[in-house]
Parts: sequence; structure tokens; C-alpha cells
Amino acid sequence: MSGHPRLASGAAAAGAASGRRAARLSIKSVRRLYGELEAIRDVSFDVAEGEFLSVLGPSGCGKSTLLMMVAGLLNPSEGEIIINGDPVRGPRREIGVVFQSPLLLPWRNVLDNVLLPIEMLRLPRREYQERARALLDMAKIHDFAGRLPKELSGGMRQRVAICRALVHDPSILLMDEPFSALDALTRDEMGLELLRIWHHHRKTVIFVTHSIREAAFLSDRVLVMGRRPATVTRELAIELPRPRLIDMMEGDAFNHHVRILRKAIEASHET
Amino acid sequence: MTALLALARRLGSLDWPLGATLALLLAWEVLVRALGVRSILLPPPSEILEVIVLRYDFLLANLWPSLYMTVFGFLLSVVGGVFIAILITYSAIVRKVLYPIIVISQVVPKISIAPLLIVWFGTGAISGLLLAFLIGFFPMTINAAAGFQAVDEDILKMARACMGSRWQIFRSIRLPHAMPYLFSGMKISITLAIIGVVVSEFVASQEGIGYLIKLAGGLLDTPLMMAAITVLSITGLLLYAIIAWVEGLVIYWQSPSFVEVAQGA
Amino acid sequence: MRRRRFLQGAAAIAGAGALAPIPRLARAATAVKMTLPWLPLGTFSFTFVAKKLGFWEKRGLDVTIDRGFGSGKVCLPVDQGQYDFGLLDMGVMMNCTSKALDLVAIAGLWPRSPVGIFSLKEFNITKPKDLEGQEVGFDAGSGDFQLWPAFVKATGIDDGKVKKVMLDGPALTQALVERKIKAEGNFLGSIAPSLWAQGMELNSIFYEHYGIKTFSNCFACKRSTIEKKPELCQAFADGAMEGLKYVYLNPEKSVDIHIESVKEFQGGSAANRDVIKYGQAVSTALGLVPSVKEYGLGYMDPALVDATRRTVETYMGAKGTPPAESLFSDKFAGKIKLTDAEWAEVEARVGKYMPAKG
Repeated sequence: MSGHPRLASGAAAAGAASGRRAARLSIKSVRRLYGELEAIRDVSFDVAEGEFLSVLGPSGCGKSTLLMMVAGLLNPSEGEIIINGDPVRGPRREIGVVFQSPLLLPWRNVLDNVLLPIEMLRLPRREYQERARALLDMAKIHDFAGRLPKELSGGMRQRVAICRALVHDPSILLMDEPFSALDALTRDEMGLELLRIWHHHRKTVIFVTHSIREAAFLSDRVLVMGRRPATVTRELAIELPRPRLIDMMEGDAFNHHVRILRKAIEASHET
Repeated sequence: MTALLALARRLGSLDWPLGATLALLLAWEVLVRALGVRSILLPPPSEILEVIVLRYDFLLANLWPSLYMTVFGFLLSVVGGVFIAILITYSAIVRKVLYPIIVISQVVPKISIAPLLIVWFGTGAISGLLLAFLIGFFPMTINAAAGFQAVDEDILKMARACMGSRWQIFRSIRLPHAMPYLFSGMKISITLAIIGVVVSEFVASQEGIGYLIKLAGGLLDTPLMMAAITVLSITGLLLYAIIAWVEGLVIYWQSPSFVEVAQGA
Repeated sequence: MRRRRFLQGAAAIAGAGALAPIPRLARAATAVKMTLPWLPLGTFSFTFVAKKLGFWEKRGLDVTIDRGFGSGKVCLPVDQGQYDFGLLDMGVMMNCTSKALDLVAIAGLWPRSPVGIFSLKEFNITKPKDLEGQEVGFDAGSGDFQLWPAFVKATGIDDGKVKKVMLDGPALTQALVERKIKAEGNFLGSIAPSLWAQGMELNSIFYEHYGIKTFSNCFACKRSTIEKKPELCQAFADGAMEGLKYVYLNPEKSVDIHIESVKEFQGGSAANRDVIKYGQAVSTALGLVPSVKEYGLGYMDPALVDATRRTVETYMGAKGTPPAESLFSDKFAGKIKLTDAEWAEVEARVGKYMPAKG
């Protein structure tokens, strides 16, 4: 299950395809136990700088747990996670996290919500206020800066959450099924928005999802995770040109990737 | 400005309660006179009003001490109650040690402690204050603790991901989150503070509304007694209303309360 | 066979009827509730004696005696029917009638009034004026508190300068003993015994000496009780007065009976006996006036009743007090008398407990 022959080549392929350098993030033989229950068996992979990586799998396969460990919110039972050469011991400034629900503080307006990481990191508000506004502008919700979360739609709130995750200029963006709570139309729209934002501020992205189409459309590379045991069963480089266009979803190339991924998921069900 | 508008709207929506109260008072007045009920048993509202007007300085002079004892006792409850809630929330040891003590302190009827407090602290303001605090801090503690702890786990996760320290998370997340709970606790505490002060005055006092009620009772002056009770009730209502008003200002982020919805706000 | 059975049964019933004690009255005893004006002190021993020695029982009454919370708090419960009879200060009773309570006195206890302000000797508070600037304790329900406005008016002292502290019954006594207050309003028989038993002395300012002339404690009931159940009133008064006579003539035994009847005094020290003894003595002294000697125990001198009414009306502004004649009745009192010799004996014994002349 581990040490998949394709992993190294996959990383190299991705690196070659987008002309990026060495890995920013390394996950080495990570294992997570809850008592006797093995939530994550043996996971190892690297993520290159500026890469958009999806972790795809059914619910309960441990992909969110994995993401939380990268974020420093959970500790692995065994193994190590290394970011920029330093092992992860807790939350880090280089990381921004977007969760499944926006998790905005209802008593703060949009701008103040976006500035929350700045406050927590005790950085000067004045400097980052401009950045926050620019992010909101780019996310096309600049007019809502003074509004309260209750006045925004679900999609808009999630955009605020994305801005918040980017305000402190992290190099790595972790996203845990950020669009699964939205309706299908908004979801597609948000995917495009995300890519647009990502083109503006090139970050390394780890995107957890259970949607095959989403994973294929957004990423450079997709890791498929199975359930029992919870480990990476397949890795696929997405060979579609950027910028991704919505029409590509009807093309053969896209659907070819989708088929491969689907088979990989079904295969992992059987084991 | 918004606050004033909110207040005006609140007053405007008072038609129903106001109308009902007036109707009740009218019925009382008519029935008492028609049935020839003696004033010593139940005076009509007009007589009570007369006493309030004629003896307003006497009533006011006794209202002040009770009022500021109530307010101070209440503030003590709030500060003390929240402080204890913070201790309980953040220290398992404190929680295990304090919690049983707190529960026991509530099971003992405070009214039975009043004479003891007076033996220890005399008939002055301290006894009333202490009793108000003892009765009033518990709802504050329980509500505040609930408010601090009921924060969504995911929000806490998000805050930790943003590198928030425990203190930052408390100040920026748990505390604002607990505001609705705190105000619920405060509404309870203020009424209990009044009770505490009046009970203490019933046991032994030199001034205050409780003192006045006892005095009037001894003189069999039921109109005066009821005037004192009326003044006390109105004061209690005003205090409660002030808290509700402040609540409306502080808690601006939630959807309208059930009451407001019912009033078609 | 059946006939024999029937005869046996009849014989059994007849036999049982012959053996059963014949009750002295044709009907069961009437339940009567009365209330004292204060704690069950030595001043009220006579009620416990009357009950224990069967003075009421033999007249067909089963009397329950409740403690009270001040004369002021006797009026309403009696008026509302909670009690058949109440023992309370007549001045207070009349004040209540001015507020449309319909009470009538049927038997008097204290033609001398023990109501006043009391303090420890060491505080040197001997005149009304000395009370200005002092903290004076009161129980809001007590007669001395209700009559306080009258005292103020009659003496002309500045009420505003007297700081009134409201306390409850037993706390009142304690507060004075512990010197938490300098003076208190009370009835002599309620406060003095406790202090005397501890060897303390007190200064008394009797309202009576400053123009508040009133008949003090008496038994009262609703007017309707007198009208509808005069025999009840008679039986009650007689039983009570018989108890009173017993206390007059048998102080030691009365103390025993009091202790047996009142749980709070049981298991106490010798001081308890003293407290009861002094209480009885004061109570006895308060009843020793010539008119009672002549007309029998419970007699209320109409002149004094009239004076009481005038006091209440003048100094308490109690407008609407009914005429004096309608507020008392002497027809129930006077059946129990002492002989001249007995009077002399009693007077000699309790003479020193009379409230100082004024």
C-alpha cells in the first residue's frame, strides 16, 4: 500500500509539468490511531511548491484527519510531517485553513472576520487592512466588508473564509471539503473562483474532497485515499491545461481522468 | 441613534401589555369598591396611588438604600459569577473542588442565612449586599460557564488554526459567544438581587423598602405597604428593562428574539 | 338458637353501655383557637395553666394556644377568623377598629400598661428626649411600635432623630443583651425577665407616664362571635380567669406547669425558671387595681377603656374609632374573684414589680 512506485514519478511529473522546484511539504509514514482503531495507516507523499493537490476519497477515509495533522491541529501517532524543513508541532503561520463550513464569528463584520488571523498573530492591523480589502475585492465581495455574516449567503460566507485563510499570506492553503455544504451551482462557481484566486496568489494547496469531478477539475495531482485501511491507494497527475475552463468538463480528456479516478475509488472499496 | 429607535419601537409595542395592565387595575378598583373591601385588607389602586403621591419623599428616601444595594449586589454577582465561571471553565481542579461547594451553597436556603449574616455584619448595607451576591451569583456562574463552553468545536479548531492563544480565544471567541447567556443570567440575577436585599431588610434593617414594608405592616397601614411594594416592583421592572435594553445593544448579531417576532418586529 | 344469639348480643351491648364512662357533656368538646400576642413567656403562664389543669376542658372547650408576633399582628388573624380569641393590647385593638376591623374586648388582663421603651441601666436613657440620636429596636408587629406615633406626639420628641431598627421577636431581646442596640420598644413583661434573670438592670420609659393612658392586654374576639356564641365567650373567659387566679396564688407550681407545657423552656437552666417566674410576677402586678379587686378578674373599668379610646383617637389620629362602649364588654368577666386575704398576699408578693409610678 505504501511506497507506491508512482508517487515519486508523480511528484516529478507534476514538478516538471509546472516547472516548480523541490517539495515544500513532506508527509512521512504518518499513522493515526484512536485507541485500537487505525484511522490512517501508512501515508507518505510530498507536495511541491505551488502545487494544487487534491486528496480524494469517500467519507470516513481519514482525509480530513490527515489534513488536520498537516494543519498542526492533530498529532500523528507515528511518522512526521515536515513543512519547509521544520517538523509540524502545532499550528503554523505558513498555513491557512478553510473548513467545510465558513465558521465566521457572527458578532464581527466581514472585514473583522477576515482580519482574525492578523489579530491572533498580533500583527499590526493597519498594514493588513489593505490586504484584507484587496482580498475581498478580488473575491468580489468588497461591498460587504461592513456587513455581518448573517446578511450573507452561504457561498459569500465561504468566500470570506477563503479570504481569511489568505490574509496572513500563508504559503500553504489547506481546504477541507470547502464547497460540499453549498448547492451544486454555487459549488461549480466557487471552484472557478478558487482557481481564479489561486492564479492571483500562487499557494501550495491541499484540497480534500469526495467529489471526483471537483478533484479532477481543480488539481494538478490527485491522491486517492481508501477506507479500510485508510491510506493512499492511487495517485494521478491531471494533464489538463491551465487555466481550466468549464467547457473542459465535457471533453474526453477530463472524463478519462474521471474514469480512472472512479475505478481507483471502487477498487479501494473492494479491499 | 439606532438605540433610540429600538427603544421607541419597544415602547410602541407596549400597547398590549399596557392595555392589559390598565384593564386589570380598573377591575381591581371597581371590585374593591363595589364589594366594600376594607383598606386594611386590600386598598383600591387609587388609594395606593394617593399614598405614593403624598408620601413620595418618604418612599424615595427608603428606595435609595435598597436600590443601590441591589445594584451593587447585582454587579458583585455578575463579576463574581463570571470570574468563578472562568475558573471552572479553565481549571479542572478548580471545577472539581468548587462545583460541589457552589451547589451546596445554593441548596441552603439563603433566607435562613440572612439572620446569620446580620449577626456577623450588622444591620448595615453589607448584609444585604452579601445576601444579594450569594443568591445572585449562581445563575451568572452557570450561564456564563455554559456560554463559555458551548462554543462550536469547529470554531475553536478554526481559531487554533489561526494561531490563537488560550487567552485570545477566550477574549475574542468564548466571551462574545457567551454574551446571550450572560444576559440571560443577568436578568435572573437582578431579580434575585432585589429579593436578597429585601429579605435581609425584613430580618433586620434601619432603612430600605423592606424596612418600610415591615414598618407599614406593623402600623397596619396596608395602603402604605402596598405603595412600598408597588414602588419596589416598578423599580425591579425598570432594572430588568435596562438590562434588556443593554442586551439589545450588545447582542446585535443574532436573529430577532422570539418575543420580538411575536410582536411582529 | 337465633333468639339466644340475639339476647347475648343485646346483653353485650347493654353491658358495654353500662361499663362505658358517661361523658359529662352531651356533646364533644368545642375546638377553640387562641393566640398570644408574643412568645410563650411567663406573662402568659395562666393560659397554659388553664389548659393543663382542665379549666377549659371542664367547660367543654379544647383550646389550642398559638404564639404571636406582636399585638399588631393579632388583630387581622382574629378578624379573619383564623383565631377565635386573641390576647392583645387594647390600644392596639382600638386602633385596628378604626381601620374597620370589628373586634370587641371580653376580658381584661392588664389595666396597667407595661408598654414602653427599655434600655440597659448603663446607657442612662431615662427620659423620652434621651432617645433622640439613638438606635431603637422595634418589632414591627408589637404593640409598642404601633403606639409609638402616639408616644412621639404626646412627648413632642423629634421622630426623625430616632433611628428605628426593625428586628424580629427573639432577636429584639438578644440585640439589647448584646448591646447591639441601646434601647428597644417592648412590653415590660417580655423583656425584663430575661435581663433580670441574667442579673442585669434596666431603665424603663413607660408610655403610660407620658400621657398615653391605655388599658393594655385583654382578650378580644369578633363581634359576631359574641353575638352568635355568647356561651363560648363566657366559658372561655371563665377558664382563662380561673387560670389567672391559680397563677396569682400558686406561683411555683405555675412555673412547673409552664415548663411542662412549653417545649422551648424544657431542658433549660435554672435561669429559665427565673425568667418564667419574673414574667408571672410582672403580669400579676399589672392586674392589681382596685376595680378588679372589687368586680372580679377580667373586669375592665369603663373609665379606663374610655381613656384608651381617647388616647388612640387623639394621639394616633385614628379617625373612625367606634364609641368605647361598643368595643368592650364586662358581662363575661367577674365570675372569678379573690378574697381580701388572698389579694393582700398577692400584693405583698409582687408589689415591687409594679411599673414605677408616674
